[in-house]
Amino acid sequence: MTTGDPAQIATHRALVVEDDEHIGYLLDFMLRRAGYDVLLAGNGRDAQSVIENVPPVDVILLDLMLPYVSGYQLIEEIREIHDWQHVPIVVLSAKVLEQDVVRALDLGATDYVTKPFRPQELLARLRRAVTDHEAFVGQHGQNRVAALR
Amino acid sequence: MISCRRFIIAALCIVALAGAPPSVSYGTDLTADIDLAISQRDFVTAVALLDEHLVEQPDDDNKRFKRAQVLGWMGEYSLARDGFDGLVKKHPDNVDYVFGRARILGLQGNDAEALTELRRARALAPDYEAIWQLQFQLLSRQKSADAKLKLNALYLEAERKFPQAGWLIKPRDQTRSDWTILAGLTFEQLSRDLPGWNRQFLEVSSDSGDRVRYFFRASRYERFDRSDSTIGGGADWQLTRNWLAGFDANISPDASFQANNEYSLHAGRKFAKNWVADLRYRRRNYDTATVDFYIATTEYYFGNFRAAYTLGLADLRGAKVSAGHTITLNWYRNDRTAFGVSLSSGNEAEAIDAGQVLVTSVRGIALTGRHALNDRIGLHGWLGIHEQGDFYRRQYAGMAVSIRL
Repeated sequence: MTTGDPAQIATHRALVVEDDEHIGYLLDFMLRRAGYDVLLAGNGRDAQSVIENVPPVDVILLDLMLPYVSGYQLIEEIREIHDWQHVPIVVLSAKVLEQDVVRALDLGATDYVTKPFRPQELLARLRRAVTDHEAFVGQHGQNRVAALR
Repeated sequence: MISCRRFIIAALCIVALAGAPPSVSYGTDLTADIDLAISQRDFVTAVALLDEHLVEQPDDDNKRFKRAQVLGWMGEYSLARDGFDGLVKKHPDNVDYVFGRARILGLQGNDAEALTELRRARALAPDYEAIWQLQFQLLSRQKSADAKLKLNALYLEAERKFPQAGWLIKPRDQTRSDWTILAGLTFEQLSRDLPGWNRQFLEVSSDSGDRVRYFFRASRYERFDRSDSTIGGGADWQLTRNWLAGFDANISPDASFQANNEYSLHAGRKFAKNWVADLRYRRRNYDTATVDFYIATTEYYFGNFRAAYTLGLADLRGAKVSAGHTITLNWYRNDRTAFGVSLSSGNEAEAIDAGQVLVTSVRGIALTGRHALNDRIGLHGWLGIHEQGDFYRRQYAGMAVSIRL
């Protein structure tokens, strides 16, 4: 017997950094259904390895409370890496205090979604982040960014 | 390192491939197909196969549990919740079912009920780390002062129980000030009808939950008819999750029996299975003598207890090295109250007069206790006996009050 979801053409790649295995499964499922290719990293160190070793993705979905390397630190590092510095980062965190949101945005996060999240709202925010990023790339040198891939 | 990195990249590639639309050949073994579908994250197929299985075996609650779990991974919270509700009703003492229900409640944003379920799950399985992790996550996103207190208490408890847990991140305490004042005094009664000693101190420390903790102190020590005043301060850094380092420095501008100045450096590390080690170097400079101390402490945490052994070597320049040993047992009765007992024995280098350092055999016992009256005010007390060779026996008692500003 062969079965599966209807095939969809993945047009964007997303890096999901989430240490909760169950939330990771859920995000992976949601994003795949929405047409993303998904890279999953279960902690901050694995996320660093991805960033060091693969070409930039189209969007990063990032938890803040991560083992080994915090989400805040990852945002700082990503914004320092030439190839990755413009990749949109959507934070998905249980931290709901204003100062946590402000800190993440000040460090360079593109958007901030708190847990528990509404799946369709999260997907909409990811779409917006990707669209804005593509518009930015269009304005600031498609060729240069394409060369990085 | 390279091979490790390659492994990670390979694993991530597998994950990425799994992200592609699944195209899997299933066989005739329904159970195996269910496992295969789940492992391929082909959740739609998995649920269909689980439904097929449950038509044949409606009493298979393990598969019913798996179905509820997969529905949760698909974001079908209401359907998943229905599944877990039924399972928990039928098996109220099954920790996996209770925990699964709590997880779905949390995903639905029903944190109050989720936390109630988690408390029940923890009572069923106190060592089930994932339960603590979810409880920590849910409390982290609560805004109430009560929740913040519970989060801090949970953190302290979890830190003792799972010292290597990667998910355990010290919460920033939103309900408390960053600063605490500790003020106290000690009275010391000496044998041989010698006049008593006494000491007063004031310490201010930061406790912001950040990686650095600062402290400043001032004290006055009266011995016989003389008194010394000391001021100092220092800091401790949480360098990584397992490494801590710090320093402190003190000066006594009018030293008559204390060191003119002293400073120390230390580094500590948490190890697996609740072991902690700390190494400290301290130097005390007197008018005519310098004493170097090398202090090693190892700690072990078990249940609500802490056991520690400290070896201290004192190197008086120009004299032989002396060694002292201390064993300590602490009992953390609950979040508010703790007691401790220490036994010490060995040799000690002590300044007895300006520029004079005395090395004598010492032994002693000390009892300590602390109790938090509420979230802001804590009481601390200590008493003990210290024998300094044949010179004297010192009985002492002291108390302090801590106030979080």
